[in-house]
Formats: sequence, C-alpha cells, structure tokens
Amino acid sequence: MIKVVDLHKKFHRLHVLKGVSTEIAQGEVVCVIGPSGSGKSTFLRCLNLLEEPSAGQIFIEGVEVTDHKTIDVNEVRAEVGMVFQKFNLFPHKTVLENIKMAPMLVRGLSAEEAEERAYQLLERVGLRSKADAYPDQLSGGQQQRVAIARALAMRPKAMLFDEPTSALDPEMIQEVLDVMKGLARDGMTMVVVTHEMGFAREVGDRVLFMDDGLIVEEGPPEQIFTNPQNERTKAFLGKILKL
Amino acid sequence: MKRWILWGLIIGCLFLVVPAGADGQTPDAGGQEKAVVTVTTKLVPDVGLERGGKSPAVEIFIDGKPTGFTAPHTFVLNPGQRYELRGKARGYTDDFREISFAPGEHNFQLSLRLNSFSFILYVFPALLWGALLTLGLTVVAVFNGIIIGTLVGIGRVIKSKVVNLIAGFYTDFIRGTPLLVQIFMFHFGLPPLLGLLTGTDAVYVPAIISAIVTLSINSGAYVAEIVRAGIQSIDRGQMEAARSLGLTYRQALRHVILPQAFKRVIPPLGNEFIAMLKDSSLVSVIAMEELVRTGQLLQGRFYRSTEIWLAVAIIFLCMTLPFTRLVAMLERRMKTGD
Repeated sequence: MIKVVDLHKKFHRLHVLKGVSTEIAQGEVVCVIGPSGSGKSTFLRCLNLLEEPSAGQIFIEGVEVTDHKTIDVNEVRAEVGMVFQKFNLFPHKTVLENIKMAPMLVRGLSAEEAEERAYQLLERVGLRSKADAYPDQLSGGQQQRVAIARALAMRPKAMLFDEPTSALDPEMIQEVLDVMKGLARDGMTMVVVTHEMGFAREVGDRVLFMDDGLIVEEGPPEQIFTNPQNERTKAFLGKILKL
Repeated sequence: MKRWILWGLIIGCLFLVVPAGADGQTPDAGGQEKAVVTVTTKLVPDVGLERGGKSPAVEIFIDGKPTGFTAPHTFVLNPGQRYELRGKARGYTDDFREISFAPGEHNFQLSLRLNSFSFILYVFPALLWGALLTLGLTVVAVFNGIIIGTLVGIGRVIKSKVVNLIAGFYTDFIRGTPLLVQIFMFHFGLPPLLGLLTGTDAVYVPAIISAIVTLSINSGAYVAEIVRAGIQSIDRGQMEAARSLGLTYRQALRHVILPQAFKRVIPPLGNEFIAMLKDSSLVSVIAMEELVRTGQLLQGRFYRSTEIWLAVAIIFLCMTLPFTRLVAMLERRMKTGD
C-alpha cells in the first residue's frame, strides 16, 4: 500500500535519511524503533510530505506522491492521518470543533454530517462526554485520544504515529495504546514510531530498526526482539531492555 | 556722542520739572494738603471679556482692610502715611502696591493675573478640543494601522519571496526613520513630486489628510511586526497538525493560526495605541491643532508655559493611564487563558 524507494532527506548539510526503502502492506502495523537522531521521525514525516524528501520516491496505492507535477500534497495528506508526540490539538477550539474542522473544510461535509462523524469517533476513543471541553481541560492521554479521533475523522487510508506516548505520564500511556490496538484490530494500516517495545511486540506485524538514516534491520517483532542479527540492533535493544 | 549728552539733559530736566510741578499743586488754601488717589485695575487675561461674559469685580483693600469699594475707585488719603493698596478678585492673584502720601492727584493701575489653577481651568476646554483631535487621529491611525499591519504581517510570513521582500522593505523603512521625517516627507516632500508627475504646480494635501495617512502608514509597520511576532509565536506543531489533516496553507492560517495569533496580539496592540497617542503629537509640526499644537498656540498667546505644559501632560496621562491599566489586565487574563 505504501512503497518507499531509496528515500533521502537532507537538512542543509545534515544528511538525515540516507536511502530508506521499504514496503507497507494494506492493514499492516509497522513499528519503527531506533535511537534518537536515527531519522525515524523524519522518515514518518516524509510519508505524508510534512518534510519534502530530497530524493527518492514514495508511492501510496501505486501513485507516486513525490511527483510534484501531478500531485496535490493536500490531497495526499488528507488520505494519511498523523498523530503527534505533543498532540497539537487546536487550543482555541472545543474537542468537537477540533474533529469537525478538517472534514468540513477539506471533504466538504456539512456541519451535521461532520458532527455525527465526530460523535462516533469520540465514542470510539471513549470521550463522548468531553465533546464540548477545550483541549487544556483534558489530561494528556485524553488529548492524544482526541488527536487520534481528529485524524480518523478524515477517514484516512493509513495512520502515522510519531511517538504518540512519549509526552504522556506513565499512567496515561495504556489508554492511548488501547485505542491504537483497537485500530490495528480493525485493519488500519499503521506506521508507529515508538519506544513502547511491549506495544511493538504485541501489536506490530513488523518492526523496522533504524540507525543513522538507514533501516538496519527489519522483521517480525519476535525475531527482532529475541534474535536480532545486526550488532547495532543488539546494542540498542540491550540498552532498552535492561531498563 | 552728542545724542547721549542730549538724552542726559532731557532726563535731568524731567527730574527738575516733576517735583516742581508737584509742589505747585500743593493747595495753599486752608493749609490742608490732600492726596486724591484713583485706582484702576486690569485683569490678565480678562476671562469675562474673553468669554464675552462678566468679569469678576476687583475689591480694593487698604492696609489689609476692605474698603467696600470695587475698582475703579477714587478716594482721599491722609497726609504723612504709607499705605498698602491691594486689589483682590476671585480666581486672580492679588496685586498690591506700597504708596506713600504725596499731595495731588494720583493714578494707580493694579494688574491682577489669573492664578495658576484658574488659568488651567480656563484653557482646559481649548486643550480638551485638542485632545479630542489627538484621540481621533490616534483611533483612525491605529484602526488603519491594524488593517495595513495585518496584511503586511501576514505578507512577512507567507511563502512568497517577493511578498516577503516588499513587506520587509516597508517595515524596515518606516521603523528605521523618524516619524517626524515621514511627516515632512509626505506633507512637504511629496507635493512637488506629485506636481512634477501631473505636470502642474506642487499638489499640496490638506494637513489633516497628511496627518492621517502618515500616522496610519507608520502605525501599520509597527502593527505588522506585532502580527508577525504573534503568528510566529504559535507553536509549529499547530501548522503541521493542520497541514497533516489536508488543510491548505491558507486554510491553516485562517482557521488555526490567525485566531490564536490574534488573541496574543491584543495586549501589544494596546501598547501600540498608547505609543501612537503620544507620537501623534508630532503632527503639530504641520499645524494640526491637536493637543500639543493647542498648547503651543496658548503659550504664544498667554506666555504661561508652566501651567499650559503641565495641563497638556496631565491630559495625556488621563488618556494613557486607563489604557495602560487595561492592557495590563488583558495581559494577565491572556496568561491564565492560555
């Protein structure tokens, strides 16, 4: 469903992605792990063109989205939902308005349709009662669930998660992971940059280990976690799992 | 040289003649010498006349005791004494004069100056009219400034090199030159140029137009910086979240960034208003009769600079202080609201 071919990203002289190639199938849950600065967030942000790749190609459902001549980036982004580490809810809008806005502006839904959709999604993330609250009245975990609902309201073909639980207090991590598990069960294609090894192991279909701008190793979670082949993967997992 | 000697002779003769004349007036009959004194008074300024109303009466006191008479008044003094002649009128400072008895008829004029407090009250209405113009100019300038500044401020952040450059030039020029120079450039520098372009004589613009245009353009540049700072103060994640949902840059700006930026921009806009209220006094140089110019005109008329500038300062304070408080209140509320 998503195919990445030799993706490069440079920030001025800093070469962050040095040729990433992979393929993500429909309904697959791919977890991206790796040390900080390894380029995993940049990789994710390239997938919905929040960062413009310096070289290489990205295909979504067979269409090359890195082809500037034929592609409207806004249309691409509308099809790929994204959840951020810091939630990035719109603080001047209520929870309901946060979810309604993009479907109305981008998809042209009527206010009633958008509201109905928003309530369904709030139900799904367990926050129907918070529809009229403002983001700063919610806990971090609740905000992140609203952010997931907001992304889902666009009915995206795939969802990208950029360290969705890193900014959360420990007791709130589980409620967000539970929502993500539910999504995975329902067959959503997901790419998750995460430090939650438990989640990667339990929900992930495949784990990508990135280091220094490259996918160093990939495979089923069991294999990566119990029997890593690459030295750098071993070193990284050794440090993480010791904690 | 000759003329100085002549002047000396003339003055010397006067000294000889005057006492002789006074002596000559001394009445012989009855052996009683009399001094007849006539007191007239002058009010400065005569507020009654100025306003076309009734001037206050000046009461005459001799040696601190009221005579019960008002000026002008003629009376007889006894020989051999010194007197203190005093005029009192409501709102005026007393004027007094020591006179010693001298036979004959004498005229004295007492000149009473309006006291400081009354003078300030007297010029206050004129100053208030000036203040009204100051306030009006400021409101119009800042209102236009907000419109110009919002557009220019957005022009500084959008992804268009040409627009960025033009907006940058504008703010650089306005913020980098004195407002006084901008006023002169527009009011005096532009007309010959306009004349040249239209092939006529210099095209002069009424001062009020020059004032409004210059102040608006000036305010626009400062508001633009405020708006730019406001937009850039919004977390980058807001724009990213909006774009990741498929909103266009324009939609993201309009529905996500600007509503948040405007809230943050309100307190600094209040400060801009206060600054403009004070800076607008510079249009006094092109004869706009706002508060400062009114003060200058009154000073030229009454020569009472201390009271006038004190009053001008007080009126400015009365306009700026409530606003300063309001801005501080808004800032506090913003802090808790965010």
